[in-house]
Amino acid sequence: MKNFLIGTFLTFLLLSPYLSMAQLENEPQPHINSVLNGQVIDQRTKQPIEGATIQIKGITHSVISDKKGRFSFKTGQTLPYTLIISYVGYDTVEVIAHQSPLVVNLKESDNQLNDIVVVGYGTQSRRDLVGSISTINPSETKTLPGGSFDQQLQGKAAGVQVNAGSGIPGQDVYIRVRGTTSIYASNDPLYIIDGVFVSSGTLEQTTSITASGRKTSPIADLNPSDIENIEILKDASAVAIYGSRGANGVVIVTTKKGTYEQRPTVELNAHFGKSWVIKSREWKTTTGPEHAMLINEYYTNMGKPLPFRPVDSIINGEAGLGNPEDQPTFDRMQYLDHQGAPLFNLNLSVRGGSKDTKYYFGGGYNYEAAIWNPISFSRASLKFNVDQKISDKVSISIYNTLSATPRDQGNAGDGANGTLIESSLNIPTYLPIFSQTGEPLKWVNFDNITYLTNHVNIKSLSLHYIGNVALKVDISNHLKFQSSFGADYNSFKLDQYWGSETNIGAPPINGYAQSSHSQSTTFVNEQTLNYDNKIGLHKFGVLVGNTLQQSSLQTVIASGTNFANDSYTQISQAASQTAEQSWTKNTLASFFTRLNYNYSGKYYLEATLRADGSSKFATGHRWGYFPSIGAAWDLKGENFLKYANSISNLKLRLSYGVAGNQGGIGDFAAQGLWTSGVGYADNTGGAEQPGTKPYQLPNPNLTWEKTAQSNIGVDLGLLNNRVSFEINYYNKYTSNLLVQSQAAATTGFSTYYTNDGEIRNRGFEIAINTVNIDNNSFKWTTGFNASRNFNKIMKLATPITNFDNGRNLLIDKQGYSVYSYWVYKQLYVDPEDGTAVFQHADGTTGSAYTTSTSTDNRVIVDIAPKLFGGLTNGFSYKGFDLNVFFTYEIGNKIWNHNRMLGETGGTLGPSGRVLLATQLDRWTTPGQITDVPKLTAENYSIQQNSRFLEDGSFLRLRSVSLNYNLPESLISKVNFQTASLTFAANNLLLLTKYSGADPETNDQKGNNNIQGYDYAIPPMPRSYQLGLKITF
Amino acid sequence: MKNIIYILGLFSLLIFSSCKKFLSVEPKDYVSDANTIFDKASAQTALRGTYRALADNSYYGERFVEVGFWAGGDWINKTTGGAANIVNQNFRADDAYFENVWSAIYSTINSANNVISKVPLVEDVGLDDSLRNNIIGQAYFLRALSYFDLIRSWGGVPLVLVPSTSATGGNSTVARSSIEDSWAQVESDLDSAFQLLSYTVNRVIATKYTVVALRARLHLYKKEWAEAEKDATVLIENNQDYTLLSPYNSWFGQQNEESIFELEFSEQNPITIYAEMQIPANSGAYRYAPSQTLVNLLTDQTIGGGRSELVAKNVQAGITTWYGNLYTKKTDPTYVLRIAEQYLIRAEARTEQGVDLSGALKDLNVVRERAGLKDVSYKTKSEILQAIFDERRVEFALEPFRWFDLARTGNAVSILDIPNYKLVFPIPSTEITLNPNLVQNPGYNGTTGESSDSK
Repeated sequence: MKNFLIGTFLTFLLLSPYLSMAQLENEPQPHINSVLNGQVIDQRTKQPIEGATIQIKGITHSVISDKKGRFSFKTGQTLPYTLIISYVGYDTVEVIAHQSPLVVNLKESDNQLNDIVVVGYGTQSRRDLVGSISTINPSETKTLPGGSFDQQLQGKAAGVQVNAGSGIPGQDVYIRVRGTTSIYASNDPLYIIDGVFVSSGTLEQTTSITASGRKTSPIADLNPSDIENIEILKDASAVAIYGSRGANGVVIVTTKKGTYEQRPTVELNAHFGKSWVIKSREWKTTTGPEHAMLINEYYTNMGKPLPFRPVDSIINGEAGLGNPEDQPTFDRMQYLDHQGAPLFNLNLSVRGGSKDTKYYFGGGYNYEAAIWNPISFSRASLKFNVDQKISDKVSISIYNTLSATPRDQGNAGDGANGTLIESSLNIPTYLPIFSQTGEPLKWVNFDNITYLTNHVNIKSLSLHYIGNVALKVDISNHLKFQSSFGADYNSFKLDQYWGSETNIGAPPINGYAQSSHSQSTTFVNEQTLNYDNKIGLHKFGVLVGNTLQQSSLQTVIASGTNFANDSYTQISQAASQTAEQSWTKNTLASFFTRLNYNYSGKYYLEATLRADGSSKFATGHRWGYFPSIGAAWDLKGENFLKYANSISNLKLRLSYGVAGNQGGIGDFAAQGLWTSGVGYADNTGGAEQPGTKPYQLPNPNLTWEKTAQSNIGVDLGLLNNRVSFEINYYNKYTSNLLVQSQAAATTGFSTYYTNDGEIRNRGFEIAINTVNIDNNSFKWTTGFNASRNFNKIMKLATPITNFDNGRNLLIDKQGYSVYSYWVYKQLYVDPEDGTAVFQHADGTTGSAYTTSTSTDNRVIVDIAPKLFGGLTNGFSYKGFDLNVFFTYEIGNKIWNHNRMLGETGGTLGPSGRVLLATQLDRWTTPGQITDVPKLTAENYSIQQNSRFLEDGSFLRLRSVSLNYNLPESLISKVNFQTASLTFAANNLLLLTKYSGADPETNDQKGNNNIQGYDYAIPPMPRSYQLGLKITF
Repeated sequence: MKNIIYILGLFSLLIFSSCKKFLSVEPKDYVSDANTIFDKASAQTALRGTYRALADNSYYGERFVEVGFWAGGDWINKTTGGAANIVNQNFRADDAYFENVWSAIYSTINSANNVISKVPLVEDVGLDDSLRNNIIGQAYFLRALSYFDLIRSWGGVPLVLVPSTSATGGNSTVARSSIEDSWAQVESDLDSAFQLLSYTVNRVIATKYTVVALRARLHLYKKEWAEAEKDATVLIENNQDYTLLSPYNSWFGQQNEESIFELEFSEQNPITIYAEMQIPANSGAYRYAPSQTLVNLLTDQTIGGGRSELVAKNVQAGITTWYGNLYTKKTDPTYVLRIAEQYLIRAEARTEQGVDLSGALKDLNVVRERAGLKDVSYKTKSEILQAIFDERRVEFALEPFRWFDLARTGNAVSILDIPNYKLVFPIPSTEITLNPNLVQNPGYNGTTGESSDSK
C-alpha cells in the first residue's frame, strides 16, 4: 500500500513539467464564405443521429451533429464541396454539398471490421486483430432479468459457456471461457472493469447455518445500464498480456463515457414487469393416498406390518396411521412460489462534454423479486466518469462506480436447517401444515414453510466501489505514458435472525442471530508506456508496463443465542455470544511487454511476455513467465483475392502462448500451519483454555498452474460482408494443476495443496452473422454461434473424489473429464422380479447388495454439453425492432438430486420424505418394463444411481423483445430526441426431455466448479416486461 | 523523453528493491509450523488441541459414538444418506462415516504424536518435570484411546508414532500392523501413561484413574479377565470420587461422580451429536431414531427402569415420534468412561473366571438398582453373562457400546444375522486408494465381497 502511494506520488511529481506546459492556443478567426445547414438521419428509421462527425474533405474543419441530427458550417470554403460523414456503427459516406439545407441518410454498418475493440492495455480495430476476442453489445440483452451482466452473456459469444443456474437474481454465474482448465484453482474469467481487476468471488460467508447452495455475486453490483461494451478475450495472444490472470479468459468491461464537445444528453430508461414459476414444469409429488399406498407396498415387500392401517390396530406398541385412502393431501408449494414476482428497473443518465472535459453521470435503481418467497434483490447505483484535458498532452480520467445492493435472502440450497425446498417440497404430502388450532407444524426434520417465508429475516447489503484514476501523457505523437491507481472495495454484510419457532432457533437455542461482515479490498497500480509508429508500409507498436496488486479479505462473524424472546433480535441482547475473525491477503507484482508489427495491413505479428510474482508461493517458486506469439494474414489484401468480389474479407489467425493461474487457492497454501481456537478445559467444570493443533501440511514446492494455448482462426466475409464467419480451433493444455489432493488420513490430515496433473481442453467455435434482408424499410439479421469443447484430464496421480457430503458423487480422474459424475450404472430393472440390476467392473451384473463398493464398479460420466450456443434473429421495420433470442445445449447431463431424494422407495418410512410422482412407476408385476425398481431396502440402497443422471439437452427461447421508436413528428413536440417503447418476454419456451424443473439449475454444493447438480434452487422464471426509453 | 526514462528508472528501482518484501505475506489466522511446541504454554496448548481433536464431531463429538450404537441394530435411519446402510449392517467401504471417523482418529494421533515427541525437548525452566511428565502422560493416554478405538473398529491398523511433516512418504504409506502388534501398542502407551501420571481426580482430562479404567476395558476386549477385574476394582473402590448416581438421569449433561472421563464442550466448540438425535422442536435435525424394539426395552419398567429417560416422544397430529434424549444441548459433555461400565466389566470378568459368580451378580445388581430395578439372581455362568449383555444394551443405549459388544463377543453373527467378516468395518476405500500398502479387511474386497450372504 505504501509502495503504491509513493509510486503514484512520484509519477505526479515527475510529470509536473508536463502539467505546467499546459497552454491554450489561440485559434485565428476564420473568414466566412459560405453557410451550410444540414441534418443527419438514419436511412431506415428516419430518426435523427446525434454525434455524427461531418468533415469537409481536404481540410480539418469538422462539426458534430446535435440532438436533432442538425449541423451547420460557416467556412471560408465556397460551395460545392465534399463532406465526409461518419458515425459509429454506420457506413461512412461522402456527399457533395451543393446547397443548403442538406439531408444526409446514414446506413447502419454491416461491416464490423472497423469497430474498435478493446484489447489488453489498448485498443485495436477489429481489422487488425490477431487474437480471438468476442465483443458483446449489452443493449441487446439488457431486458434479461437476473441482475448481473455476466448472466446476460449467455449464448452471445462463441466458446463462452454461461449457466445462470438459478432463478435467484444476483447470484453467482457459472461462466467458462473455452472449458474448465482447473480442478481446485478458480475457473472464472478475470473481470476488468474500467481498468480495475474486480474480484468475482462471493463475500457471502458459509457458516453452520447457511445452506450449501449458490452465493451472491459481487459482479451483480454493477449496473448493466452503465456498460458501453464487453469484450471477452479468449486465445493466448489476447490473454497472455494478463499473464497469471488470463488462463480462464478475460472479460473487459468498458463503461459509458461522455464525448468532447457534446451538449448534455439526458437518457431515461424504465422497465417494469413480473415473473412467474412455470407450474407445468415444477416437481410433481404423490398425493397423500398415493404416498400411503407406496409405503404400505414397501412394508409388504419387506414382510413388516403396514404403517397405514386402521388407527386402532396396535402392533408392537405402535398404533396405525389410518388407511391409505383416508389420507389427506396438503400443498406446501403454494407458500413458496411467488406468482407474479415484480421487477422494475429505472435508470437516468447524463452525458456530454466541453472542449476539455467529458463526462458521464448515471444513476440506477433495480428491484427484482425471486419466484420463491421471500427472496429479492435490489440495487441502487451511481456512476461518474470524467475525463479532463490538462493540456494538449496531458489528461486525467477518473472513473467511479458506487453501488448499494440490499437483498432479502432465503436458504435456497441443501444442508443446514431452514432450507426452503426441504420445508416445502420434501415433506410427505399427507402430513398437515397446520394443527387443528392453526399452529404451524414441523415434520421430518424440516421447518414449517410458512415460518420461513413470513418470519425469518435474512438481509444482506453489499456496498461496492470500483474506481480508477489515470494520468495520461502523450509524450509525442508516437509515445504515450499512462499511470493509474485503481481500487475495488466491497463490503458485504449479512444479518439474520432465526426465531425460536424455527429449527435453528428452537429451544434450547432460544433464538439464533448472526451477523457476518466481509470486506474485500483490491488495489492496483499500473504504469504503461506505449510506442506506435508507421514507417512506409511498416506499422509497429511497443508496450511496456508493470502492475502491482494487493488483495485482502477480512471477515468478522458474530453469533448470539439464548434470547429473552423473539422480540429481541440483536446479538448484544443474547445471553451467549460468540465471534470469529479472519484475515487473508495476497500480492502480485508483474512486468509485461508487447510488440506488434504489421506490414501493409496484410501481415500481422504480435508477441507478448509477462512475468508475475505471487505471494502465495514460497521464495524460489514465486515467479512465473508467460509468453505468447500471434500472427495474422489478411488474404483479401493480396492480389489474388483483390478481384474475387464475392469474398469481402478473409483473414487467417494463428497464436500460441502460456497463461497462468493461482486464483481460488488459499493465500497461504504453500505454508505448514498450526491453528488455535481448539481450546479445552484443564479441570472438571473449568473454563476453556486456549489450544493449538496442526492445521495444514507444508508444500514449499507449490507453484504456478500454467495453461498453454494454441489457436487457429479464420475470419471470412462474403457478399460485402453480408455473411461473415468466424471460426476458431483451440487447444489448451494446463499443466502443474493446483490441486487440494487428498492426503492419506494416517498423516493426520485429509488434504494438502500440490501441483499435480494436466488437463487438456480442445475445441472449436463458430460464429455466423448474416444480413438476410436489408432494404430501405426492412432489415433482418441473424447471429448464430456454436461451440464444442473436449475436456480430458491427461494426468492426475490420485483421483479426487471428496465431494457432496461423502456421497462422492463426483470424481476427477485421469483419462476422464473434470468434475465427472461417478455413479453405479443401473442397467435395467429385471422384469421378472423388479430387482435393480447394476453393471459390475468385471462385466458381470448384480443387485445392489451384490454390487461391491470397491470403487471400480462405478462408471464415470461426462456431463458437459457436446454443443452449446445461441441464435439471435433481429428484425427491423421502420420504427420497430424485434429481437428473438434462443440458447441451447446439446448432450449435457444433469444430476436430478430432487428425484434421488424423492425416489427412496419407502425406505425412510411413512413420514421420512416426500415421494415424487415418478415413484409411482415402480415395478409391481412380472413382465413390467420400468427403470424404477420394486420397493425394497436393497433396491434403494445405492444413492449414486445412474438413473438420476438425466439428459439435459435443451432449446430455450430465452427472450423476445419488441422495440418501437416513436416517430420524430410525435416526439419533437415535447422536445424529446428519441423515445421508444419495449415489450420483452423471457423464457417463453423450453424444449427438453429433462424431468426436473429446469435443465440449467445448478446448486453447486458450495463449489463453483461443480456443474449440473440440480437441487433446491428455483428454476428460471418466465417474465414479461414493459419498458420506456427517452432521450432529450 | 528524458524525464520519462528518469521516471521509469525510478519506478523500476522502487519496485525491484521492494519486490521481495512486497511479495512476502504472513498469515494472521494461523501460525507457521516451524516452531510449534517450544515452551510451557505451547506444550499445554498443544495438549489441549489433542483433547479437542478427540472431541471432534467425527470422533467423540458425534460420529464415532453414533457408529458405535447404530450398527448394533437398535436404530432406524431418518434421512437420505447418513445412517442408512450402517443401521442395516450394510457396511460399505465408501461410506462417509467410516472415512470421517478413521480420519478424525488419525488426526488425534498426529496431535498426540506432536506432544509426545516435542515436549521432551522443550527447554523452559517453567516446565518442571512433574508438569512435563503430566503432559506427555496424557498424550500417551490419548494415543492409546485412539488406537483402541481404531482396533475395535477395524482390527490391526497402521501404527503411526511420529508427527507428520509431509503429505507424501513417511506416515502416508505405513502398512497395517497385526492385531496383536496393534493391541501391544495400546498397552505400551497405557503403560507409559500409567508411569507418568498420578492418582488424581479430573473428569475432563486423563489421570492415572482414567488410564486404569481404559486398561480395564482393554483387558475385557482381550479376555484377560483377572487383569480386567483388578483394574475395574481400582475405580470401584474409590467410591468417594466415582459413584453411581440415581436416579439414572441425574448425571445427564453434567459433570459429576458418574463419569471417569468425559469431554468438555462450549459455545465455541459445541458438540453436534445432540442436534443429530433431537427433533426439530428441540433444535435438532432428527437424523435417526430408536427402533420400536429399543423403545419398548427402555420404557419397560422391569428392563429399562430409569433408563427410559434416554428416549423421549413427541406427539403431533396423532403421530408419535420417538427420539434419543441423552444429549440435549451443544455444551453437554460426551461420556467416554463411566463408573457403571467398570461395574459391568468386573461383573463380566468375574463371571468369565467362574470363581466369584455372586460377586458378579452383585456388581450387576448395583447397576440395576441404580436404574430402579429389582435384583436378579441367576445361577449359571451363561445366564449371568446374558444378563450382563442385556444390561449393557440398555445402560449404554446411546453410547458407543452395543455394536462393539456384539462384535467383540461375535454374537453379532447370530443376533444380527451377518457374516463373520463383518465383525470389523471395511477400511475406507479412499484410504486404500491413497496408500498402496493398506490392505482391505477380508470379505470387503473385490466384486465377490458382499455377494454371498448379505441380508
